[in-house]
Amino acid sequence: MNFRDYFEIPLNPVAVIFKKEEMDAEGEYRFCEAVRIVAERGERIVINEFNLMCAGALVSLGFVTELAEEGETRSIVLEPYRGQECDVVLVVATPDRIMRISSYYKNLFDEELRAQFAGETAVCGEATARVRDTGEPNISFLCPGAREIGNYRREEVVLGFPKDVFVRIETAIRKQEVRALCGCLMDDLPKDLIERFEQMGFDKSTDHFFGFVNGKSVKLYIFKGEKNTLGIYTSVKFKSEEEAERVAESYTGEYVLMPRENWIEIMKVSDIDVFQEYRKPDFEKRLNSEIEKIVEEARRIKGLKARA
Amino acid sequence: MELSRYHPNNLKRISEGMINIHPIQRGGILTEEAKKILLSWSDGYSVCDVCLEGRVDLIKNPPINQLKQDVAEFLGMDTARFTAGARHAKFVIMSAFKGGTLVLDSLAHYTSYIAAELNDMKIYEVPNSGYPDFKINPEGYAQTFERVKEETGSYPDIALLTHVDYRYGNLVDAEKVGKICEEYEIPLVLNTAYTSGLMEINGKKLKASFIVGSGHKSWAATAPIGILATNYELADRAFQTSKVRGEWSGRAFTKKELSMFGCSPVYGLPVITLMASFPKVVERVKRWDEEVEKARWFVKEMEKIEGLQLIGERPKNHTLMHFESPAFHSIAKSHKKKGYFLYHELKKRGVFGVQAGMTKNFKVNTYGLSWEELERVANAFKDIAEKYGVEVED
Repeated sequence: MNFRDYFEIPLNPVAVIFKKEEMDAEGEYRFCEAVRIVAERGERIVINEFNLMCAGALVSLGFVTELAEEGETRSIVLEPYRGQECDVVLVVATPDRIMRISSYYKNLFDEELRAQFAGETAVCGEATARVRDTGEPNISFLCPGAREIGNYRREEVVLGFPKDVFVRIETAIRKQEVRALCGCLMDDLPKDLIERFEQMGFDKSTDHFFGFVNGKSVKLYIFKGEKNTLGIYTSVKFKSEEEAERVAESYTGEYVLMPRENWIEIMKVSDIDVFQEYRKPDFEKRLNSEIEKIVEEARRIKGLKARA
Repeated sequence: MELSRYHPNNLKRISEGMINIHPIQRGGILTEEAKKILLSWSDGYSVCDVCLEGRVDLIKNPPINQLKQDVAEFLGMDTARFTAGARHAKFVIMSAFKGGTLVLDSLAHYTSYIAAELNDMKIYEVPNSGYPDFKINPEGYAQTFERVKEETGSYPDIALLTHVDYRYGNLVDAEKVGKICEEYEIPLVLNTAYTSGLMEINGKKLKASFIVGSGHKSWAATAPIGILATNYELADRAFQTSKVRGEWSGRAFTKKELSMFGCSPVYGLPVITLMASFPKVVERVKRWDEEVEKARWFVKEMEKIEGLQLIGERPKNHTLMHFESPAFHSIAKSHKKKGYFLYHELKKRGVFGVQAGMTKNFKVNTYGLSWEELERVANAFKDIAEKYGVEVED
């Protein structure tokens, strides 16, 4: 699957090829207008100093310098991107698609997609020349020329990629390197709360957290309500259901014992209001203290079987 | 386009030749009878050769009209339809209560929520008990009905109970929920996607107004096919027929049921395989106790692996089970295949269906496995555990 299909973008990505030799060119265009035409119709357009009708683009793309002297660029070829050699790949898309692309980009490169824009010389400067010069992708929100003459729709923006970055993304798409995250949320726990537990060595399961403490498997479950209390659980396995029940019946300690066939689930509802307190510096210490106690109690309960 | 990828040689099923314990697959395995007729009914709209009534559920040859009534009777209901899946059945029901209020269990399948959303319904959830049982207490329905009354001024329009949930495989006491719904005069939708076709279900006894089933999950049919059974009191509401008329042509389609898109979308193999398997399904539900017995045995064997523990209700009352496996997860952290190691190790041992990448916790379904197959599966897990130094009890 290619980039356009993967992100479901109606327009073709446009390959921008800078040339140092002058090529024959037909028609008259603004650069941004030509990009939009190529993106929409799949045509090939060649631009040179004489058919490029925008002074800002002449400067930003390097046809001429700001002092009107001859620049490095003699021609630019715009084609629908089909894997050919090029300098920049431009993507015309709506913000919702840019959002998906940026999420993918973050997953793949572990860095954020940036938007540096001034609303001037946008498609030519912000999305093309800057990207070529810096080797970094950039999002442009276009300029009055693009909006009024370039035929861009109100909701469209342009994202420019250096060719190698674009190729890397297409490769990742083909190899399915970045998997779409599941769209089903199983709870509404804050991300930083989940991270807090993970830092403490607890992994998130579907509905709860679990980890090992002193060799025992410990689970944490948040009871949602007016006070979001934390249930701390560990379990002890017995030889039989009867043994588990006898131990649970004879227990007189401070924990809640729930026989579950040949297991006993040992549980305590902590005083900690998780949502209120997980950011506090002593949260981990307080929680660990509770967990260590329950683990210790579990070992003691395991020993009760002899007496039960 | 590389069309060669679609060549039959390249369409080999990944699970072929293995024991498939994928949670959604066991109840959909075709009977020999269904396999026999696959080819002759495999063309597109194959059951519509002799459609005289203009609706698939009314076709007499093959006897779909009769099957509809037999399925309804089997479920203790008055009438039934075949839908594009249990999700479509729920959509059909919700469309009859469009814009109303729905109470559903907090372990309901996502399609229950989406069916409600599509029909602009307001939803309220019956909480579950949380770790480690995640049980739905039938009394929670009454409490939630009262909460809805308090907040909206009236009781909900409809309630939905997921008989067995897809996450923990917990079986809820549907009869108790049905009784509560009856007392409040609120129609109950019983989602039996993992129960009807596997265990005996009697809608009248359970006091359900609607029963939703999944042919491909639990009735030994090819996907996609769902079942929607109801009583005559609500059938007219759920199966309203079309009233539209073309303003120029005068065309009208008065026999077509609106929420079925006119004609239930099961025009070929799905309904035929369901039909061919039906006699076996009617028989097999009587052997449910043995399936539960096997599931409980399997849990015991699996829990011989250090740290591996069943979560959800105990004892197990269903063959869909959810295990927590901190030891496998620890192995995954340092294994070069990461979380995929378990999937690969199981495949090597001829066992398929544990979701690739899952090691923290995973779900399996043992429905229909022979004792021998069950033992092979349990041994595969134990063997993997031992290979990586996890203790396994004798």
